[in-house]
Amino acid sequence: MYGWFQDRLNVDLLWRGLFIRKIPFGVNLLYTLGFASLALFFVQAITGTILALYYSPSPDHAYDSVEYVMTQVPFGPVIRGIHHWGASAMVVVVVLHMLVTFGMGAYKYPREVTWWVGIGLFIVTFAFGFTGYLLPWDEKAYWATTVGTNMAGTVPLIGDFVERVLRGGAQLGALTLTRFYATHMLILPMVLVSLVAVHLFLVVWQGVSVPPRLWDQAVATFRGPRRAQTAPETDIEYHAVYEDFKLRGRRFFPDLIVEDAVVSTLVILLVVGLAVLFSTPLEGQADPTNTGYVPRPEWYFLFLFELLKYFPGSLEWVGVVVLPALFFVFLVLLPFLDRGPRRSPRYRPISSAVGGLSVIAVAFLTWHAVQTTPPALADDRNSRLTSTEVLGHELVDAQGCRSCHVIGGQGGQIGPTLDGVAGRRSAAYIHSYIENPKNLSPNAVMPAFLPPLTHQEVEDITQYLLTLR
Amino acid sequence: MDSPVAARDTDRRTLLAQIIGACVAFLAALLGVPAIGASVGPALTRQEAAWLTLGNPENFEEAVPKAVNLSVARRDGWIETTEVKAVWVVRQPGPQFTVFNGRCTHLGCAYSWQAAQNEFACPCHAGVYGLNGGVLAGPPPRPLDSLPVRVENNTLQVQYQDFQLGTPEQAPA
Repeated sequence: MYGWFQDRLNVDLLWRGLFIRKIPFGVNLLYTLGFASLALFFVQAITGTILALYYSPSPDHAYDSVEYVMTQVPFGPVIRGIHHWGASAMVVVVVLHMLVTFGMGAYKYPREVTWWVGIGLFIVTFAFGFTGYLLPWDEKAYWATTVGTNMAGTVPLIGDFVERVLRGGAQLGALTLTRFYATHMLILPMVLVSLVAVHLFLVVWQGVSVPPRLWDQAVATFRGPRRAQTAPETDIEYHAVYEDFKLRGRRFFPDLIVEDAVVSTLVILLVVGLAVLFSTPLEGQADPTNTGYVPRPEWYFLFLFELLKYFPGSLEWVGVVVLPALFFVFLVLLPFLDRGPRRSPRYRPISSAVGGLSVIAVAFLTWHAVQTTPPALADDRNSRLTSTEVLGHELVDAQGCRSCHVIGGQGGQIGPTLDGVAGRRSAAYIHSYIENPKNLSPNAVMPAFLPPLTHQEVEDITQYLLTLR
Repeated sequence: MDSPVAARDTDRRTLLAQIIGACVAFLAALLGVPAIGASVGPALTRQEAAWLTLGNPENFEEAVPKAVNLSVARRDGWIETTEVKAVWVVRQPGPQFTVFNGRCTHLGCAYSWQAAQNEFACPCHAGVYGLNGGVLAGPPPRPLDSLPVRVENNTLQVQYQDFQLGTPEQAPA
């Protein structure tokens, strides 16, 4: 059977090119983070697909469909848990991979394009997180996305337009949910798969980089003691030194892929373990009237959320747009900014300083955001009146009902107290009584109120009276 | 040439390949079992039909079929809907009760009791059934479908379900 495929596809060439290729000497476990990112993406794709079999992206049904998964679907909570923890794990692993690549100076010649594609992948990973956590349509999802899209609105000139495009209109609603879902399920996966394909191709085509200290030593040896180390290696020097490292290296299969496999298995095992041990939170259903809720984004956006506190009012867009833009411009231009002769971080003081400071700043901002989370504000939704009841309240004040009745603890004693009347009389009785008391109680002293009030006004009063305790 | 180094290398490579295989198999099981369970699960669970009330048994006259409209709650995933379904209740000596599903077994039209002719008649294709549900004339392929019935706390109760139409054998819908 192998022969059948070999005759048609030359699988031997594919096998040797992809799997038996030599990986440079010196490659260590830090290099498994890239494969681990990809493995986590597959986990997200599988669990996400299962969740998509049940999820309904409309405000009426989104929450119920997620609850259905959590209570009625076999393994539902585990699948959702893996997806939830997997998302955080993917952010962590992608960031670590980026830090290792940055630390090793692997964005330098000839891997600049790989680095740029990687920046794209970094952005896509965060975009997945942002679009994904709106989908359960619980309180956290709704409020975090309200804040997030408001932030987009702070951009000068085009802010309002951007905010409307993100939300699918002026308000956060059904259109927001469907376009976030379409982005999360279709657009971002397509973009990610395309970028991953290019990224992987380049990694195989060019080979992975050599750990920087080893590399610098080898280049120095190759050049000899008399050549100065003031310029980066020429492409001829590069290829000569690289070939030597490959010669002394190991095969991808099985020597290196086993490292990838074991590390990825451990990471996935950790994610599944977290999913099994800890239940994934699902707060109450989204309620736009909940003024007591404290909106917070997912943890990996907390640093940005915290940063905005230092940019008041009109300067907010600086924090939203300018700083992140500067950050990405820095990353993109990095291969041109850092043209030093050495790759080792010890000899790249500026890059190392900028990288180190960024990590410390983000870590501090995240920690500070957690520390300064205010407790939930008072939830007074149960004691609020509806607009009908407010009208009724005003009518009661205007008609002087308190001259005969106690209402809200105050009033006359001529008629019975109306506090708690809902427990004694039905709404229909109250309504009819107000309209013409003598219909129900022939000896009533109370005047009829229909007229001077209308039927609707009497109904408003009735609804208000029913709220009295 | 089979030097000891080459042989050791081959053994090492085989072991590493086996470790990779083990990792892949382990992950396939770890993720595959919940994935398949979650995908297939709801298809296999059957909803247990609730007992719905038809009324006091005394309300039904012997040998006089009476139609009753039932509000049947249906769970569709996370959505609960109520549908109105018709059944015919026939009381026999005992008292025994037979409750027929209100759909004609031919193509599902609503049939009705014709007191003058002492038979159930379907207006769509002239199907005719007797008091016991047996087919007397017309295209219906099988007798009327009877439903599980019980008397509990002096209340007549039935478990509603629909059956496939147009088949000689009764099968759940």
